[in-house]
Amino acid sequence: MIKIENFSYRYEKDWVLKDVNLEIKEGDFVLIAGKSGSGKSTLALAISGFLRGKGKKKGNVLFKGKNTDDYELFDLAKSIGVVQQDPENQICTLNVTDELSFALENMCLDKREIERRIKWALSIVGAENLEDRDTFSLSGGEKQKIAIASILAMKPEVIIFDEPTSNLDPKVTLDIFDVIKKIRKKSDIAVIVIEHKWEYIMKYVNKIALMENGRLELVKTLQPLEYKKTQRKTGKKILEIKNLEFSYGNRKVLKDITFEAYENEVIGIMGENGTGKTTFLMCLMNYLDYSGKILMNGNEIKNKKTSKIARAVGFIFQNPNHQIFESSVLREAEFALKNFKKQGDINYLLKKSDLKKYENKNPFRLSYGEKRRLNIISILSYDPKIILLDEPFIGQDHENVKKIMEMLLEKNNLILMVLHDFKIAESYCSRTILFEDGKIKIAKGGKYEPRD
Amino acid sequence: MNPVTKFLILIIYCILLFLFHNIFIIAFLCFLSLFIFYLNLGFSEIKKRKLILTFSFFILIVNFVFLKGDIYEKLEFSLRMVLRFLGIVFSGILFSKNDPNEFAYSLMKIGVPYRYGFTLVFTFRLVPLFDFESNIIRKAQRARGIELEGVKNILNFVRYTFFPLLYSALERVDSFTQSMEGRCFGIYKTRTFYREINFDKKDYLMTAAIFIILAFSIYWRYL
Repeated sequence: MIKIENFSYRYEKDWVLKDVNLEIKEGDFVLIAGKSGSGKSTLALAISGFLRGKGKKKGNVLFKGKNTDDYELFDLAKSIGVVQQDPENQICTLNVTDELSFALENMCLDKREIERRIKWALSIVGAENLEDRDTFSLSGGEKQKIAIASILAMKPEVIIFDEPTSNLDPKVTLDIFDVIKKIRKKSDIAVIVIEHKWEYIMKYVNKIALMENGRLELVKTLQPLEYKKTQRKTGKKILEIKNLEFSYGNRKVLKDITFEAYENEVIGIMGENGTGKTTFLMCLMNYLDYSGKILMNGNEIKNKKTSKIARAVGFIFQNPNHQIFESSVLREAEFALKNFKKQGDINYLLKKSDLKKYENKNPFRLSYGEKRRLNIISILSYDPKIILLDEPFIGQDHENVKKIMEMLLEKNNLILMVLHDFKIAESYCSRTILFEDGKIKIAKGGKYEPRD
Repeated sequence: MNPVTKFLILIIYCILLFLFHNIFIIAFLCFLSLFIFYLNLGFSEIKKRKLILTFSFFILIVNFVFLKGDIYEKLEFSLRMVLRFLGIVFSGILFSKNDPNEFAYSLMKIGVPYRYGFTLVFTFRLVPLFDFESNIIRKAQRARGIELEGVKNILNFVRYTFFPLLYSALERVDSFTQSMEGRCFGIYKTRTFYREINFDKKDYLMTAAIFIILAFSIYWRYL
């Protein structure tokens, strides 16, 4: 059905795809794995026809024997659907029913056919209960299900999933993978999944493609990715939390949290989305009006301004774009250091993070992984003794996670990070806090299973 | 009632507020708006708008102090301002309680081209996202030592909020475009509408009534 023949592509100077060959037949279930920047997403754009008019191409991408660039984009869209990484950027209406009917209305189908297809798509993704809900009130996993159903309702011949689970917790990730398996089973739609969390889905696919540096290679199996186990010797107590509670209106989000943490610990904060993990970190920064006690080095932070607490506590938010403020990489790296009027070795950090060569570049033009490293050095510059990270590894590949962890562990500090990846937790965490409905359980190491 | 009918009523109501000069008619219109507001949302919702009430008092005082003329003229003029202000604000708030989505789809139903209709849907989709993001960006600034104090920091605040927000918006627009094109948006001149939107007898009656009132008022005022 789809045939890619010696296809190469470049946006600017460097070739992003090099001599790619791949054939996808009806009913295929294909996994495309590879690091960020290896060309996976560009390949998805090439197949779905979104590269037309941009960049430079060599070779062919054929759909049913005809070059994809020779199709009208709409005709191709009817046959090849794409589910994007972040459903927040895919859902473009305010109501689930409107979202599901969106494509079908554009295709001018009649109402009865639209109704039938909506029912069918909802039943496949298992979201019948969401019909007519307000899209803004859905959880991340529900949003992704609706985004998938809205593509599914078009009854395309191929669906490409471009890292569909990167914003989701492990339990919901498995849900979405189950939905993908079900689509493959219950219809004759060919499925292409682009993922770097491929370990679960690998068992079910019939073709595995590994991308590296723009080249694609078909492989039988993939080697599991490992991290080097790193543990530091713990030092003195620097954080003490007593009976911490917080409510949004009437809803109690944190319930009686008490625990202590020591220098050189790396503490993983895990649990499903919506159980209070982010709220917990926000309290430690005094962003929220909590009750109970938070002592840092023996001092209560309740009456301190966040900008003062920040001198000793670094905070990394989920999305790298939300914490880049300056117009060059160098200035961004020194931003916090200058605000705090402290001294630090920026040059060393720029080299360490491989960003030295981009010193004068606009930081917004860096890749996602590079932006994340820039955020990290921006806080490491003033050497905060406590570092809080809220899902720092979303959309980051294995290499980048290793590099970030190596930089974070170089100095003596306490690290608290919200994360979903068990392998990372097992390799780096001295303890793990599991959040369940605002309460915590503490375990040694990084041992919590997603489904038991 | 359909939101489009309500919108029409809102527009004509605002025209009427400025059409008349007679303070008693303006007062009547203003209290009408407050009364309908009270019937729909209750007194507690009015009480929540203390800021608006305080602000209108402020308008009254400022107008009164800085205007020239004799005391009755001044009082009448400032009262007229305040009553118009309250009338527009409260009827506006009442209208904003409608489902924006239904409003957009109703507009398309009565013939507004769907490309424009969806611009509206899209705006309503993006506003809460922007709100959410600027909140996070503000927190991220504080985490890097920027606190909102003094004139210099306000300027910094604007600058350091604008660029992250702009960049994130550009990225979003890119994916939204792909999402809409990928689902055949704009393929034909028309499209089907799955959602049922009703214009019933009540809507036609209200529309007719409000236009008659408008025509009558213009006649009364000018002819």
